[in-house]
Amino acid sequence: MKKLILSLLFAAGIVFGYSQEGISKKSFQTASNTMDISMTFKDCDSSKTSAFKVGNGVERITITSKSHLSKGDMSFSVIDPEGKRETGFQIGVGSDGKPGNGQLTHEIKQPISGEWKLEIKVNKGTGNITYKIRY
Amino acid sequence: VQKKIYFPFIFAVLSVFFASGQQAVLSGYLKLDTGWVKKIFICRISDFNTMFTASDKLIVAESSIDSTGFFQVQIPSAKEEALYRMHIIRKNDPVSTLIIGSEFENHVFFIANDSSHIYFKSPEHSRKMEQGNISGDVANQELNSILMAMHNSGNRDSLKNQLVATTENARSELVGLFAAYSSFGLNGKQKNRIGKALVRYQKNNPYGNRIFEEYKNRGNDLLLVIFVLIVFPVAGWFGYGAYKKRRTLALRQSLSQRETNIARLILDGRTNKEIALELNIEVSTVKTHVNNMYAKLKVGSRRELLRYREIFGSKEQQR
Repeated sequence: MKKLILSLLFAAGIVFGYSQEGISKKSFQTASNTMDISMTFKDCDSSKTSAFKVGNGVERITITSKSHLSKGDMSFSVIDPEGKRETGFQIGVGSDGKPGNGQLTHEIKQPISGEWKLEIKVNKGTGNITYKIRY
Repeated sequence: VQKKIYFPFIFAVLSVFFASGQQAVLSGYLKLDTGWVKKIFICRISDFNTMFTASDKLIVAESSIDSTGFFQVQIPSAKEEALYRMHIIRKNDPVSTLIIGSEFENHVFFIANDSSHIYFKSPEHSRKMEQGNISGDVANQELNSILMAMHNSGNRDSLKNQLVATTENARSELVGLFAAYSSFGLNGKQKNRIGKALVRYQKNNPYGNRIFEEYKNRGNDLLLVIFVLIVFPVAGWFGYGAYKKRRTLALRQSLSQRETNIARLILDGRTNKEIALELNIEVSTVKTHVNNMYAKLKVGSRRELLRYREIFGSKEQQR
């Protein structure tokens, strides 16, 4: 009887251990990083580059961005570790143009690992930009 | 007789008049729901860098869409191919609104010159703006193919190869330049292929400015590599020669006159005994001089001494 109880406890321990391992793997796979930024600028000259590291095995990067510009020029670019401009947009209003909008939804499947860059350049710009990057 | 003379003249004048007035035409069907403005806007993209630029200054033509979804617009165009973007906007959005990706994507690209007739037809009159909806000539087929590959490709290597192959083989110069412009992360061989392919393109094509500049610099880089590959070995060879001469001179100066004479006689093949007789000194003295000389020249035998024959000049010089 003692042996049977011990065997059952041992088997339960193994099953519990496996299930714990499964949960931790699952949580690892679903773990993701998110950058969620919002910027407002007025008659502003600015050039900002931020980097984010994408490791091996990341399934996708999702990029969404919205921008409105009433004056000046601005650009939003996402550049991969090889230097390729993956996506982005510019808005050119200048000093006498009509306001412009840019909106982007982009998904990169199986992105290459390494340091990705995000460049936002504003030239005498008045407006705003929001962007969200999830990977 | 007068009629016969005037007829060709009038025909020529009319031909020139109509030819100069030719414009590209874009027509098609697009069914929009109430959330959208029933208009299409055409932007002229004069530089690949501005393909995704929203600016009212780029708009060169616009047209209303009728209740059946039909539209037709004449586009100011020239003999040379140019890149254009057609877009639509939602109500309350500025005319220069660019939506990239998502179900609301609002633009497509096309190539046109003054004799082009381009068609846009979305499937079953839907609102969907997809690059594949554009049709017309070979240039637009090639452009669609490359834009769709860039949009869909999960395999970067195959995309790189396609961009290189398109640069080499595109029938449309504009598409070829666009492929070269869009290429990324290429290896040396692929870069060389693009460099060679660019030879067939017009150097004054404004779309190629950045590309020609990039590959011109690459040509300069190649010249630099060749220069370095030639100059370094030659400089090294001369440098080593100069070093050897200086070392020889230093060694020669370190030997006494007697040691030099004995070394010359050894190099002539004389034994210590013969040298002692010739110089009228003891054999033991010869041996001492020989040992001192070996130490200075860092040699251990007569055979090794042959390496330094040049220090003591040729046999003729010795005599």
